[in-house]
Amino acid sequence: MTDCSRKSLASSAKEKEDDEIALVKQFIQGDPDAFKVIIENNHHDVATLANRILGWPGEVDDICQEVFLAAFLGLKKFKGNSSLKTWLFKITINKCRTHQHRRMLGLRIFNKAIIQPVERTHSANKATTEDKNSMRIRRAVCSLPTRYREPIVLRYFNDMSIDQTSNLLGIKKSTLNVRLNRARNMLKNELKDLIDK
Amino acid sequence: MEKDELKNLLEQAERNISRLQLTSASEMDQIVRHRANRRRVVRSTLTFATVAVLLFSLSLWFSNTQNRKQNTQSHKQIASLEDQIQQLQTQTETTLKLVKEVLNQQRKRDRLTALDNELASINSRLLEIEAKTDQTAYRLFLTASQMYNDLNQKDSAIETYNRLINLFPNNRWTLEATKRLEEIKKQNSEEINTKGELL
Repeated sequence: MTDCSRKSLASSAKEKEDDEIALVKQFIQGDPDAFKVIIENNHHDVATLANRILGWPGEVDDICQEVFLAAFLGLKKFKGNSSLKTWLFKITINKCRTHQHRRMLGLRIFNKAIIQPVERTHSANKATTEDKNSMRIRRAVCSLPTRYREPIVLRYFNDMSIDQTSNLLGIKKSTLNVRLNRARNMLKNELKDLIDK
Repeated sequence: MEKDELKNLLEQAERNISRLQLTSASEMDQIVRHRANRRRVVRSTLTFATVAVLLFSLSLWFSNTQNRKQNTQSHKQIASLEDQIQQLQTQTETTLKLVKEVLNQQRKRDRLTALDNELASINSRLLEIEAKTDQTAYRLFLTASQMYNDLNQKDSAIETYNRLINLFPNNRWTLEATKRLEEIKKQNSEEINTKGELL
């Protein structure tokens, strides 16, 4: 990456942040369309992250509602220390954790049922080897404990840097690296044959 | 395992996955606003309810404390009244005792007066009896004297004198009778002596 492109990326990020802050200010001032714009800008990212953390259930509208509801109620407290997306991602991770916790408490069977439909649709006779492989990878990621799954999702699926990931998860970089290493080893053991291929 | 290899592998995970069916931003906005309003309503209702419950419990507590105070006051009043009643009871008991004693004394006095009266009546009877005995003794003496002096029945007269002495030993007429008997004895002896001399 050249210095020029870096500079242009940085400037665009800065502009984005300024836009976000302006949107937040508009929302605080009572502009009814501001929050709609915030949703439009972040809905897909939030839904994708929730979908990945929860193990690709395909239906994450409830989580999205919870996230945007929390954002709607707490946006006045947003200080702009991080980007709005990072803030929303933090909320998403927390909501996903709560969701998983609730599911673990009362609906262990539901947990399986969430993963099963994806498996079933793609395990039909028509499913190609590629489909089977992608399903195996998803299952392997899902089988990871939450504290290892979250770093893997943020780092490898959402392409976040170590700093961003550690900041989002609220852990030290060293801890994040340890968790990432352990998660990688677990995945390696699970998907050994695919890696060999 | 290289990190890039893992990354490539993980990228495969989302291949052939159907795209997320997301609700539109305006719909999501509406839903979020609706839920936020509902939450606000619920929260305000909850706060009102909590305040109401708190006020209710406070009023309950206040009324309870008031009742307790009243109860303690009434307890104190009851205790003082009980003390007063006890004092009155003791006073009445002592007065009753006194009254009983007075009544007993009165009864004793009455009894004494009655006894005195009885005694007085007994004395008057005694005097009557004494008078009657005296009268009887006098009649006996008189009869014996008439027998001796007028009818010349000496033996009968002596017998009557002796009878008088036996019946009324302490009477004054008994003394007279004994004198007369001595006189009669003297006269008899004198008569015997004179007859002897004459003979």
